[in-house]
This record gives sequence, structure tokens and C-alpha cells, in this order.
Amino acid sequence: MDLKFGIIADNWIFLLSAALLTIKITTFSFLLALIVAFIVGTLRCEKLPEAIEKVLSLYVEVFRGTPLLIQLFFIYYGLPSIGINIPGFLAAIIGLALNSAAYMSEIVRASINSVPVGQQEASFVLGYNRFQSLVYIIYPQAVRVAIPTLMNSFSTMLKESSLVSILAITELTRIGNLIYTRTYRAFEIYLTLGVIYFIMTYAVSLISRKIEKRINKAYVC
Amino acid sequence: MKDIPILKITGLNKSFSGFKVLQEIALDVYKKEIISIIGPSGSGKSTLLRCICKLEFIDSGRISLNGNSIYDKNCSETKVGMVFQQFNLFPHYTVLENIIKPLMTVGRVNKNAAMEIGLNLLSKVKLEDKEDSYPHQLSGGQMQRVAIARALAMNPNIILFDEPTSALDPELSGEVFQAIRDLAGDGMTMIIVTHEMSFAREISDRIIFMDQGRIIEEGCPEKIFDKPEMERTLLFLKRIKFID
Repeated sequence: MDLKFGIIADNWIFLLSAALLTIKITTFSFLLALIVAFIVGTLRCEKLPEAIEKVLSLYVEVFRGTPLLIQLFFIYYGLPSIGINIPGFLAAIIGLALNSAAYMSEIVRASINSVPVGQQEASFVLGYNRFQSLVYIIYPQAVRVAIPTLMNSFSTMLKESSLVSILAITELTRIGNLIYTRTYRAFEIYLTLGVIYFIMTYAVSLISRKIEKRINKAYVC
Repeated sequence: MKDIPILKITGLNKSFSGFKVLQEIALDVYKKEIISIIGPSGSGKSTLLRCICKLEFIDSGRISLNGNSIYDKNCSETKVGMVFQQFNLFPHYTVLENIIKPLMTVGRVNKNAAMEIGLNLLSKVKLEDKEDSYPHQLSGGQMQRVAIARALAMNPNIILFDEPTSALDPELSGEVFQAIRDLAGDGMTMIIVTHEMSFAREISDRIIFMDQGRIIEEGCPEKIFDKPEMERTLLFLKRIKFID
């Protein structure tokens, strides 16, 4: 056995900046996904015209029912055929965000539905309109339920972001591939990539546990 | 006192998927009047309250408050207060916030004025020491008294109580009854749906007996409890062993 971890040390600066890019892509995508998920999840709890309901449920079903890889290919390589050119970085963020938002909107929807109907009724009788009731009464309680699962979505996104390497973005996975084609040290490189991904997701789960503890201290139902 | 009714209901019908829950309900409530609605489960008592505070839409009929239909745009949302069986306090707000946040959000009252109203009401329901507690730190009776204070804060014309003590241990009901008695002393107009016959008898100006979506009989407590005219009223009171 002839392992040479020296190549990792030689390339650490590339790996580090690529890991930071992975975090950047995931964070941007997550924030965009949060916005989309809250809008879609909230709308799907409301009584809406059937056409809008159909469109929203079509969005969720299509993005959950097709592979992320195909979605990324389609956005980056497919859309230019109909005149829509999206740069790689933006395509990666949009693809990741729309895909995760489809799952996260269901988390948001379930969390809103978990708030007892009496809360909505009490606020209505006190004169809150639907919007005020959502913002002041329903969201604060729903978010508390949603946060642990949404943090989990962040970890999932972090790992799935490795797929955007196919859009020629030099994030962590692509840097690993590039170093591999120069050195052919597959074992050392992919083991290192795995370790870096694991450290990042583990950090996320530690942070999420902290946050959970904080919000649980505020009040108990 | 008894000139124009504050709340007037005529020809009210309501059904849930074909099942008639309320049929041809007519009811006048006058200022400062205290009305208790009694009757077996499923008789439509709670649904009637929920129609009055617009939690349920009605199929036909008219509900008017001070002469205006409750569905009129110019009829203020906050003129009807409601106290729920399950309290429905907001768990993420403290006791004081439960009272002042609706005032600030809906009533556009500034924080200082809202605080003053809130603290006053808390001392009225004898919970002045609980202003910073969260609902989950209170007993059921205390929660219900906060709910009463919260409803009062919006300065309603009438307060509806939907079985206010049904979710409470019997020994906690007393403090809620006392809070309602105090309101009666202040001249608040109230409709109370309750299974507590002794309390209904003691506090009410008028008792309404409902069964299968209809008002079967109404009158002063002595008449309903001692000399009910209708067979169904008598049967109900016998079944719950309130008279023998």
C-alpha cells in the first residue's frame, strides 16, 4: 500500500477555497429556498382558486419527482435552447433552491397545520386579519416546529451541492475531481472530500441542536 | 334598560354538509343582559356562538349588532368578544402580551396605553402577579381568566362564553365563575353556553334551552329550572339530575 496524503497538503489552499464556495452556494440557495418555501407552503394552506392550487402542487410534485441532476442539466444546458442563458453559478443556486424549496414548502405547510386551529380562531375574533394572524400568531409557533427539520434540509443541500460540480463550478467536489485528474490519487482525495463534507454537516447539526435548545427554552406548549 | 336589543338574531339557519345544526333561531339580547344557553351536546349551542362571532358563516337569516348586520363593512370586528373552552391563549406571548398585543396590532393603541389597560385588567381578574408568566406556567383557571381579560381589552359590546369551565378541574371553575360574576357586576352583556346549571341559574337573567338546533324554551331561571313548560326541557333537566 502506497498512500500519499502529501498531495492533500500541497493542495489545501484549493480545497479550502472550494469548501468555502460550497458553503456560499449552499447558503445562498438555502435563503432563496426558504423564501420560496414559505410562500408556497403558506399559499398551500390557504383556500385559493383551483388553478393556483394546481400550479403550486405541480411545482412541488415535479421538483420532488425528478432527479436534481436532471433539473440542473435542464436549467444550465436545456434552457439556452429557448433563449434563456443563465450563468453557471446562478443556475446552480436556482436549481438547488427550487429543488429544496419543493421539499421545504411541505415542511412549512405541515408546521403551519400543526398550530391548533383555535389560535387562528382566537386571533380572528380579536380582529386580526389573515395576514396579521399569520405574521404575529401562526408563524412564530410554526417556525418553532419547522426549525429542526429545516436545519436538516440545510445539511441535505450542503451534500447535494456536490452535484453542481457538473456545471463547471469549482466547488469542493469539482476541485477534488480536478486534483484527481492531475494526480490519480483517488483514495486520498475522495476520503478527504468525505471528511470535509462530514465536518461541515456535523457543524450544522451541532448549531441546529443549540438553536433547538434555545427555542425550546422560550416556552413549552 | 330593555328598549332596543344590542344583538338581534332572526331566522338563522346553519347546516354542516346537509345536517341542520341551527334552525330558525330568533334571539334578542338587551344591554347588560346575561343569557345562559343550556341543552344536550350537539344541540347547536356552540355553533350559535360561533355564528355570532363570525367563525361560521350562516346559511340564511340575519345577525345584527346595534342595528348593523355583523357582515356589514362598517361593523367593527372587535365588538363581539369570545372566551373559548380551550382558552386559546397565544403560547408565545406572556400573559400581559396576550392582552396588549391584540390592542396594539388591531386596536392601534400605543404600547404605554395598552400596558395600562392590560395591567388594569389583570388586577381585575386577580392575576397582577402573573404578567410576565407564559400561559403554560398557569393553571387552567388562571389561563381562562387571562382569556377573559384579553377579550375585555378589546372593549366589546358583548362577550360570548363557550363552555368556559368545561376544560377545567372542578375546583378551578370557581375562580372563573367569580371573574364572570365580576363582569356581571360591571354591567357587561354576556351569552354563556354552559353545562353548569347552578351557575347558570345564579347568574342569568334569562335561560335558553336548545335541542336539535332549535330554541325550545326560554325564560327566567326560576321558570326554566322550576316550572319548565316543555317536555324536552323537563327531560333534559331530569337526565342531568338537576331536578327530580
